[in-house]
Amino acid sequence: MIERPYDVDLTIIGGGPAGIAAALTASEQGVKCLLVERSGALGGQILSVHPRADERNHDPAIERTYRLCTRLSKMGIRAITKATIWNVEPTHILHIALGPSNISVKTRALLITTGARERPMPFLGWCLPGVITCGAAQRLIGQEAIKRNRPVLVAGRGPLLLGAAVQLVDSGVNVVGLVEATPPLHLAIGGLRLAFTERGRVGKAATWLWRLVKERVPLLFGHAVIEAGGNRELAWVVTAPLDRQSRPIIKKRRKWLVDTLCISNGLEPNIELYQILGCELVYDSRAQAYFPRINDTLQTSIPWVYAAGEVTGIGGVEKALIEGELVGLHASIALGVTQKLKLVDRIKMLSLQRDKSLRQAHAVDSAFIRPAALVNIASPETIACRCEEVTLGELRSEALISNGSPRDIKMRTRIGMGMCQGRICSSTLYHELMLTNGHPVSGAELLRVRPPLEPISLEQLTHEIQSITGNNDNKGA
Amino acid sequence: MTGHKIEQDISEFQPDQERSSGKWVDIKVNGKTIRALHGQPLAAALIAAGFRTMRHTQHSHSPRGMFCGMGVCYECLVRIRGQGILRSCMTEVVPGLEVEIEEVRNL
Repeated sequence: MIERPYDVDLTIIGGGPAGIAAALTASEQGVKCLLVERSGALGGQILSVHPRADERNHDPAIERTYRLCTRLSKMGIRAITKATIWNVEPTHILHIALGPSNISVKTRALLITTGARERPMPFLGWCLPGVITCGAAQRLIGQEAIKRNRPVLVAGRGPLLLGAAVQLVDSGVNVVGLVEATPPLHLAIGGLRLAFTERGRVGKAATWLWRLVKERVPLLFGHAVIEAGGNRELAWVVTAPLDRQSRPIIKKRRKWLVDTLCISNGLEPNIELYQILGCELVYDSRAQAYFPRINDTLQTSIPWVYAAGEVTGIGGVEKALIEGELVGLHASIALGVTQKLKLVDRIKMLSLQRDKSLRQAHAVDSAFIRPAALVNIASPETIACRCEEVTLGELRSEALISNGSPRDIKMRTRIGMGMCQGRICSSTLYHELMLTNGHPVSGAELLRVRPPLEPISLEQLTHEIQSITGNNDNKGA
Repeated sequence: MTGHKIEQDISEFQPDQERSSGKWVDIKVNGKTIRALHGQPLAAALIAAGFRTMRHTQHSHSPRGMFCGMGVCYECLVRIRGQGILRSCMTEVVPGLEVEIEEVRNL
């Protein structure tokens, strides 16, 4: 049997900052690339939540991402959008649904840079229509979906919360309060520490805080949402201050009459593609999430598969740009396109930059309480698995009598069996098991991920186009 | 095996991607005509028109609507005539779109 030839040298899954930087860097070296993006646009989440030019100008990393997108299209690098990867095989073959068809691509090397999603923050009533993530709110701003005069509450924890609230206020949304779970003292100490090393970031945070103060938006630090309610849709939210053990002080609770609640609990990586391939995954206790294990050339445990961006660690745009460039260089060496000697200095410089951006991200993280902290205060009636409506109470009791593995809990409760296939509930599940078992669930025991990764139609499955050429000079073809 | 040319290339990167052309078009929701921006996410158009509840859950028939806005949570599922059940946050508004919401009961 004749083996199928390779169509492309390097396929990059994910058109965000890391993917774009990798595509540009590798193409410059002469690597034949293909960039695959699921949405209709390049730039990733960062450009989708900051679509306006005036927002981009305030952040050099975002501005750079935008410029790289423009450069990519001008260079004629093969990129396909609205393209859904639904399977990847160990034989180097990718399956992509595109329009009415399904294409398969055989690639020598693969960069999976699928970014991050918002980490769930379960509380009683969080499934009501009207409760949305801050990212969703930011994406909808330009779409008139958030009415200007309706009151909106912003709540959660973490570095993204403040920026989201400010963006909403700048767009004319009536933000009636910002509720951050990290206690003011913790934040102040973290902020002071950062002031010595990250003056720029602290300055930006201070500017944002001042903006909210000027707009008279109430700022509540060390408070959290304990319940959301309404008749079929969101109509009110109850928040309460947290004591030193992060437990809500019920008698000091406050009720807000809002029909939109924007929540942010930080980010967790989209690792499903790594799971399908069988890449080794490791638990990171800082992010309280699982990431593919990588070496210093950003290869996963499967040598032809690379990782860059939020999937190597939640670290923001700058880190993603650096890692994308690094993968572009490392891949071109591994593919035999460029000699290692020529790139050693550049790689060294980028590696130092990468180390620095990681330190910065960790420093910012440490100013806030742990990502999973708020799961601990959610009441047992809180829904843990939204799709299958499994409560935290059910999850906790099953965890006590199960063999301690996520797959066992899945069989017992149906958690993870719904449409989202565990994307929203898995971190809650792993956290509860860690509390019950006394140690993190091992990367080898996570919920299994099976194709199709995303819904595909029978029409697409039966209309297969074999291969796609990855030429760089495809203009006018 | 020769390669097929896939025509869907990016030749121009659109700046200021609000992802809508700014043109108002008519779409139908449960038979009722509403205006929406061509190219905007369907979920945004539905919410702007007051349709925050998009479906009901299988077990308890609880109302659900858009949550994550990026195609990860599958809460915003609606039925679109001719296309089946899709995530409305991942679907673009085009003229003549016919949406049936609250019809997705068993997911």
